[in-house]
Amino acid sequence: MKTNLVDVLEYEKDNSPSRNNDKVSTTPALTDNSQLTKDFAGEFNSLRVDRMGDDRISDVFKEKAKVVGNKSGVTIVTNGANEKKKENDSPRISQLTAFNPEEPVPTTTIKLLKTQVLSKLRRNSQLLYGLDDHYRQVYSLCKHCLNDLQSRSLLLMGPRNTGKTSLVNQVLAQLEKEHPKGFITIKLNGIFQTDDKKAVREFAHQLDIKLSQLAGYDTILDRIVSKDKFVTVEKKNITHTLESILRILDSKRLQQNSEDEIKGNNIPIIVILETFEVFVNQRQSFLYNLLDITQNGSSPMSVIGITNRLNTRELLEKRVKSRFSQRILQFNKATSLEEFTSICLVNLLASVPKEGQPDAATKSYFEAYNSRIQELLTTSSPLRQKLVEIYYTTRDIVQFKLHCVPIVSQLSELSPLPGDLDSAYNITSLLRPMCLEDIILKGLSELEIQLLISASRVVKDQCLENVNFNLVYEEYSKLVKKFQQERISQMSNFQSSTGVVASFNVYEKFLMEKCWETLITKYLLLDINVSSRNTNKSQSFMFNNNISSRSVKFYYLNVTLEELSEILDRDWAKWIQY
Amino acid sequence: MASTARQFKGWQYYFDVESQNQDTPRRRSRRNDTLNDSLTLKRNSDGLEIEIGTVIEVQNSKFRDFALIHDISFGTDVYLEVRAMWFLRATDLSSRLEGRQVEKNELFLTPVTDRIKLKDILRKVKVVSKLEYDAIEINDSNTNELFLCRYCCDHDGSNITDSFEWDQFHNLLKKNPEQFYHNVKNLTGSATIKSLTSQSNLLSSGRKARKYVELSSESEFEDEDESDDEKYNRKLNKTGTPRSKRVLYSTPTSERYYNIPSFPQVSSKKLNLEGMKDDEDEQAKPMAKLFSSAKKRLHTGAHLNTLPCRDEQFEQLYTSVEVAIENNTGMCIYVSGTPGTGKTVTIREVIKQLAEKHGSVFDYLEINGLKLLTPQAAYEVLFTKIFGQRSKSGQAVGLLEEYFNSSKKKKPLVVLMDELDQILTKNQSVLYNFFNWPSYSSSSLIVIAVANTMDLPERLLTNKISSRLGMIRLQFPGYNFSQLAEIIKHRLESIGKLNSDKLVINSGAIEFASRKVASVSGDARRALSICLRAVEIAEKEFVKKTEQEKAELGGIFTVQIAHIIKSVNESTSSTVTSYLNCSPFHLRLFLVGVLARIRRTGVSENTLGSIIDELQNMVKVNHFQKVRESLERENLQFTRVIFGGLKTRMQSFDFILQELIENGIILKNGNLGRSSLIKLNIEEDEITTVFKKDDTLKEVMY
Repeated sequence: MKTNLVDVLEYEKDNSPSRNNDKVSTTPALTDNSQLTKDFAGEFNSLRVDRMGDDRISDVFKEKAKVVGNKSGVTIVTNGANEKKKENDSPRISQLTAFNPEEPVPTTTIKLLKTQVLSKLRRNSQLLYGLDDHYRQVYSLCKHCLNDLQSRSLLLMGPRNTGKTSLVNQVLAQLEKEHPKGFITIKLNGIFQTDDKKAVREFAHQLDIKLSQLAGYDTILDRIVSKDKFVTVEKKNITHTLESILRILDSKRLQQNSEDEIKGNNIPIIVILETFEVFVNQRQSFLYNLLDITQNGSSPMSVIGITNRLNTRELLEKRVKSRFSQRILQFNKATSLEEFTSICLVNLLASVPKEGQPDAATKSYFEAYNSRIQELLTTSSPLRQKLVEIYYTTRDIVQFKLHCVPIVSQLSELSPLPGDLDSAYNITSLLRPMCLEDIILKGLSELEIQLLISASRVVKDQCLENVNFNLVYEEYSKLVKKFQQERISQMSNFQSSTGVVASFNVYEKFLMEKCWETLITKYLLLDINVSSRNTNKSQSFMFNNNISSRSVKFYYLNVTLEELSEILDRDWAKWIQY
Repeated sequence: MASTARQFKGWQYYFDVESQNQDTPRRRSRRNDTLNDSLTLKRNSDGLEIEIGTVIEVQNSKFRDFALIHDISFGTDVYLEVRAMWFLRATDLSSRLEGRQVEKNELFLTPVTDRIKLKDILRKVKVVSKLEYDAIEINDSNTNELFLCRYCCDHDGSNITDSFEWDQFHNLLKKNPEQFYHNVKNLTGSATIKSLTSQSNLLSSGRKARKYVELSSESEFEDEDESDDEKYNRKLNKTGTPRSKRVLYSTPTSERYYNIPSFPQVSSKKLNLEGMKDDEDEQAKPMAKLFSSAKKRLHTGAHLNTLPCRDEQFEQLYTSVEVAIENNTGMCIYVSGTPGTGKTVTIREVIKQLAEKHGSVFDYLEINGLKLLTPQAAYEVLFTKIFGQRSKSGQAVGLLEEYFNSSKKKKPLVVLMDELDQILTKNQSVLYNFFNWPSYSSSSLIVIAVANTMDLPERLLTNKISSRLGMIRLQFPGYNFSQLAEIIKHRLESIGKLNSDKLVINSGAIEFASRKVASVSGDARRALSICLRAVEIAEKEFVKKTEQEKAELGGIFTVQIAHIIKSVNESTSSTVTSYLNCSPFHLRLFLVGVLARIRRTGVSENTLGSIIDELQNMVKVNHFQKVRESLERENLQFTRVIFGGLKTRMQSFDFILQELIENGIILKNGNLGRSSLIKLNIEEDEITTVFKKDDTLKEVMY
């Protein structure tokens, strides 16, 4: 659930430039973000003051706080404000010819480097590495559309974090530089435009914005207010909206007589469809219309789809498939450890800033940092080990970047270069997503674990699929009573030396029911009737229900006895093995 | 030509004035199309006005000659560009006249064009047709201003064509300079009479169409002041286009359609900025042009004069629709065929030719099921077409029913219903109505229904509808490989002529592409896009070549089979295989676990819990020597990497599961944790072939 939310946030960020004038509800999220940025900037400043004191422990603590802050703020230390700082600070940097680890590096220089590298690490978009050929292909396709007014379609395909969207954005930025106002970009995303109607509406809306911009207005409103006779593509009625889109883009449909008259529109349009598979899953009429325009050549429009679903091509309907060029550009993860290392390296290296005349000291410090990073990544070190581990598990570059953030942010006057500090690597372990083990060991009380074990015993012994509270409570009280008897017999025989303090009282039903509910909220017990997504809702509903119905309701136990025996330590062996 | 604004001093330009008066968006959008064409230049000193079609006398230090202006535009590298085609005087080619009778002031049009400098323009002269010329007496007062032109010839005076009517020829120029130029070029380029006649059919068809206009002009145009030619031009714009067609029921035009914004028209040359300027290299430029024209021809949207390989279907459709129109009766035709077999384009061609033959005695409407958001919207479209007003679909049905049922005489209306299956509703009422109306005695509604499957009426429609569909059914079979090859060749024919075979697509390559497509679908779009992509690949390769290599080619470049293969591979290569090749060890292990589970249970769907247990066992039992070794080289422990310090699940287990689901490799059914079902979404073989090559998985892949 949490990852989904972050995804959505990322997508919003991606889309924000093109949606500046949008009424869509993304705005609250955006302002939220900027609020965070402000908050964090404040924290950042206070940090700087604190660091003047030589208290290292507090430093580390602050860094920790910073990491947490960063996770929510995503891109914080990036542009404008920081660049100003750079220019102000640069004259004060002392002269140094070669980097000397003994001599202190000015805080400003370190900050300069940290700003640069951290922004690289936290940036949403990927640095393109080894994608030259892909870049050229996409670029030439767009160029073709712009110069020869020809229509093409292309599908970019590949797992997440391989740079698909970033590549397209870079191509577009480059084209925007070369042909300012020479073309129109329309970006749609399947996450927002979940059905064809929304997609049509958004398409028309963006077209309106772009057309007003071409006509020299900042927003649609400006244009409507102005005396310029202006009608929007977007209409109140969705049917009319589609019709007006088709009428300006798909002039061929209107049966022209000879070639020279088909000139409806000669401004190239580049349509980017992110999360392409969503457009494929429905009636596909939106795709059909777009691709039909690219095929009948009535307006120069290129469609670039972006997807991470590998079988998207097979999902297309026959007639849509026929209109799609079927050209696929595949993005892949690194094929070898060396390649993966160099991708990571690109993300972690700093380049000497060009503006503000860097002096020799800054340069030598940056170089020293770079060579240190290179050393860390290529020779055996904790960082290298982490890299190899990621290479074997997911090959996800973002995961690696996340691990690097605390290491880079710990750079300070005392340790200007990243060392083998354990604290940095320990922080990274906190970044691991919650797993079963954490939930059980860190999130459950003793009684809850007892109940969990009882539940898994019931499942195992009675070969049940699902359990309800009554069954589990029965098992629980049976177990506790057995232990009580055992203990009494032990007590009578000899004094227990182990000194087990766990009291073997059978707790009352209402108390254990509370534990039962905890297990449900932790998703260890899953409601079989409701999908886990709606569990919260069902719970509030449950509290209103009377006890008897609650205790007979069946749940699916998401953990087995074997797993419990692996996770729990020896103290629990008695419970499990008995 | 004026390369800078300064050289343009003393001249003014303006666009056609009359267009500003009728400034409705509808008109403007059409007006804009011909923006460049209507550019008129005016000399301040003597008020000389030139525009496209003007014949001027040009003089500079070296020569003095006549030229016909065929293009005035704002250029990229020059401020204003005036291009003209040269005339030859009868005296210049007296040796080649071969006994033709020529007049004293006769000119011969050549396809040789040049940029004209504005300062060289001397004056305007008048060129007339033979008839007019005969009527006017030539004397000293007009001998320098009046000329006759009725022949074209090549630049050296060879290949003199048959005579033509100047006025008509001249009109074509005003309408479409580009086409005009090519016509002249083609006319003079080929000497045989046969090709002449076929090439000039544009002229003759124009002549024919004009007659029809004259026949129907009383009803069509109230404005009698317009000259015939203007009518002809307007006619060409109008025929068949719904937006400009007059409807039987007169309503205010402005209400007929919603206002839509028009695109600002940017001269395509302006957009060509760097691309063209950069390669000043004279050698490369023509080649780049060739590639681009080949690509244009191969694009499915390219305009074609004839449709190869669909003669039979064309014939059938044409005759049946024509009969229906002439008899003013209703009719249904069902057309089926897989995508890309030319259904829609053939029907459009039929309508176009019928419109040319009969003028506007019938109306035409296209309804595409996928271009409507709801099936009911089809009523609205039809209603708007007939009544020129908008209406809600519910209201529209009733009114349409009444309209078609009335005995009033109606203008025949041809409705093309594309993607028929998308207009299907649960009770099929929309289709029922559309097929029922033609059966009314005086409806004059001709419905051409198009769908992909041949047996759609039997499969999806109830009997009452399929019986109304009638017996006229037309099947468009997929193209076979020879037909596909013919289509491709047909498209490339014209550029072959123009470039004297400098850019060739190897016939073997064409055959390979067509066989490849014909074996699967017979989809012409697919075949064309493969060739198009192959040309693009070849172009890239050509551009990379050094000057010397280019010289070695001798100006001829061939698109080989290798290019086609590359193009085909781009669209058919297995994405799954290359994804798996780059997958990390854990992901592979997961898939191996799924495979092992399938093998063990014999069922394709297994619970997530069982796969987790399977993996657990697999890691414990097997040694994974290779991985262990390579990890130890990095000072890492195998178990540590596998579990990441945990005990029950692989490290990043959820991430991998999520990625596999997102990428469509596996399907997960249900949300109940361990009990949710996991199923492979790809062929088992695809996984095994990749993993068998991987020696890190040697122990578990057997």
